[in-house]
Amino acid sequence: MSASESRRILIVEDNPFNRKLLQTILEQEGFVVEECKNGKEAIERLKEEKFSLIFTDLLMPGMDGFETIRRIRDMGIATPIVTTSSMNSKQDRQRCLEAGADDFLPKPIQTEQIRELLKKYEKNTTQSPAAKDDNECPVSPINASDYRILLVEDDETLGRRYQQFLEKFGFHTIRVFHGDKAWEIFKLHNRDYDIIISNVFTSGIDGLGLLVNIKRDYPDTLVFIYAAEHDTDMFQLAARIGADGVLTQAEFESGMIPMIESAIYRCAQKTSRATAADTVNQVRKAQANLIRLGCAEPCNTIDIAYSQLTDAGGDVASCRRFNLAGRCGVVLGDVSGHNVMSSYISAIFLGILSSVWNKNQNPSDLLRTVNAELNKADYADYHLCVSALLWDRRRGKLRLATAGNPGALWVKKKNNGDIDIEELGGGGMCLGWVKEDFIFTDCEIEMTPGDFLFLFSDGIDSKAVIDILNADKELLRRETTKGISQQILDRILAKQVQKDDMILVALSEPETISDAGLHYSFPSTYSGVEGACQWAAEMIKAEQIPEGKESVLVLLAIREALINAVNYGNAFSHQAFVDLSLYFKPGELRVDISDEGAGFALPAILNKIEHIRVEQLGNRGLAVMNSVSDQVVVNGSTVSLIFRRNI
Amino acid sequence: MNIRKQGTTLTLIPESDLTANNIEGLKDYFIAQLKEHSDFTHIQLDAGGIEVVDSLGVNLIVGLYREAVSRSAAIEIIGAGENFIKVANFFRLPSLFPIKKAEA
Repeated sequence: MSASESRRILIVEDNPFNRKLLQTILEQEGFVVEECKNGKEAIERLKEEKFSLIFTDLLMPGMDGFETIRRIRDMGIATPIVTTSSMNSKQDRQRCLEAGADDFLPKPIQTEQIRELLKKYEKNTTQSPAAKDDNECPVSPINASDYRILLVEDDETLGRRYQQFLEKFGFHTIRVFHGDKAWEIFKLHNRDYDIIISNVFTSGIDGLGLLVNIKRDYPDTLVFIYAAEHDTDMFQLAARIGADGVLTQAEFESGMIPMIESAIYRCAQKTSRATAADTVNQVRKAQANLIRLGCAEPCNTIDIAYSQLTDAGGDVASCRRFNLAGRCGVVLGDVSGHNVMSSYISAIFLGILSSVWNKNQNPSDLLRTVNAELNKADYADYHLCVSALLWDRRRGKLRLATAGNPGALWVKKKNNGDIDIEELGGGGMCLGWVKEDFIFTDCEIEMTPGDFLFLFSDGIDSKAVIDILNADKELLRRETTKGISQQILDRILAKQVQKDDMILVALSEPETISDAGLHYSFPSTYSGVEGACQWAAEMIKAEQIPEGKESVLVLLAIREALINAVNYGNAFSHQAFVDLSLYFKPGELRVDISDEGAGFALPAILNKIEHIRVEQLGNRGLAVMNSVSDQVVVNGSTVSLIFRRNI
Repeated sequence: MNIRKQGTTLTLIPESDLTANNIEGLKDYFIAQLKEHSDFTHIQLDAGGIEVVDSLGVNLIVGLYREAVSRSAAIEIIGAGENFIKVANFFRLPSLFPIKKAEA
């Protein structure tokens, strides 16, 4: 970070008055202040520029502060983030920290508090140009200056950014714009380059073509391919052709260096018996980007705690809310080994997960799919132990599947206040070892409100958790699940020396989900749609149809959304469910329809009925939803139709 | 589902709603009847038994209309109830062929 960058602060705040106030204080302290009006603007800015400190508001239109922080961290940016908000409850602070913020500044802002924060982050804000920033350029186990890279990227901005990134680590990097130019240069001067890094989409020969040519004629050259988005087929193809690493642009700055080091390490192992240099620092930093605890949504029902071993591993834990009807997924992964390769496998696992999880919400399906993907790539001695669960909170049903991981502890509360703990069996074969897909264990339970389920990696002994729960039943008498995992983990660590990474996930529904709405669920069939429509027709009273709306057309729009969920969301799977919820407000009716699919994007220009030709068959259902309702909102696999009184 | 043939007028009388749940059976039946009575010059769809029509039902009606046009036959809907007419108007079906209300 240059001296000028170390004095730059970014303010993300939608309120112009608050923005000006903070700017004035910071400028008085001698800082250069840049402003963004919302999270989206900030994300764009941070792609291009660096800052020593970021202040962000929490409540902003569009992308709120929590999401903004999460995205900044996902970009691999470690700059300290301070949230500023009038939401200053303990829970809000906790959420900020969980999202990745470093500090919390309550509004109204006090000058003295800001000075204290600036002092606290002095290292970031007063660094000299010569100083080395550990966050940006960690100690590398290889001597990067020994390696020369040919980078192929036709986008000027991206190319410059990646070139600077690689050079920062000491790699001598030459950039070319086109694949054919790269091939031409490489043929003439192949001794000058050790590594090729190419965007998969380049002019002339594309990245895969370049990979084929180089691996055919110069097999010892390392080739890495990156793409704008994860594409399983393309990634697998690149791996089969012989790419030494494949990753998405989003992972470039967090994953490329460990990937290069891993490939160099593997090459060194092939050619000599020499062991790799100490890779711990590097791996730790790479791993920090891979452990994704929790999901972006605020949640009081799933709690994850993690204790990392001092030497790195590759454990991951993640949860996801699939729809607004309360269907959530949790995945806990434990990668074998404690080295660069472990982190690399974790990255691969997360990449696969990001593409397949929504479409494979059933835990057994998810394990089968991930196993198939890992087997395509053949990672030799490495394997993954995974627990996956799907929790249908509204119905209380929870499905769990394990591949080499421990099972879970199901804690049932008895009427007399006692608890009954049942161990759910785990085991099964780890992912990535064998191609068979019947090697996992699975079970289904019905959790009642107040029950707890604990899921953990093999670093935690189930007996230790049972002892703690039996010894202190007060632990489970709480309104929220938040914090319980950390408390248990702390107690375990107080009694034993940590020998492995430890991840503990707790799930509990404090009480039956209830809200002001009316809810109906049905198996995903057309006859189910009929039943749901009859239910909706009975539940929506004439006076609850917003004034100016035709009830027959409102019911038609609901019917179309339900058909859409059966056809596309659940792809005609009769095992799947559709949830229908009705919410009434004066002058407004909101209808939520959730399926088990991956969600869909509304067409940019969604035709109204009057604009489509009557002969046209496609999109008629969407057109009805859009024409009759005042607003169609798609949030994951939930579509909301909002009907308002016509003014 | 009933059917009536008077001269060259073919009247299709569905007894269930034109909705996703029923549409496949109705479509097959319509196709079979049009094939069997191919000498028609006039198709009537009697909507007296239809309470609900969804987009798949509208697609079926439009399919019938296109079939009639391809055979130079006339088409109309008769006996339509109030709800049917609201949906038909919403989809602008009256711009394609006549829709007659059910007699009181």
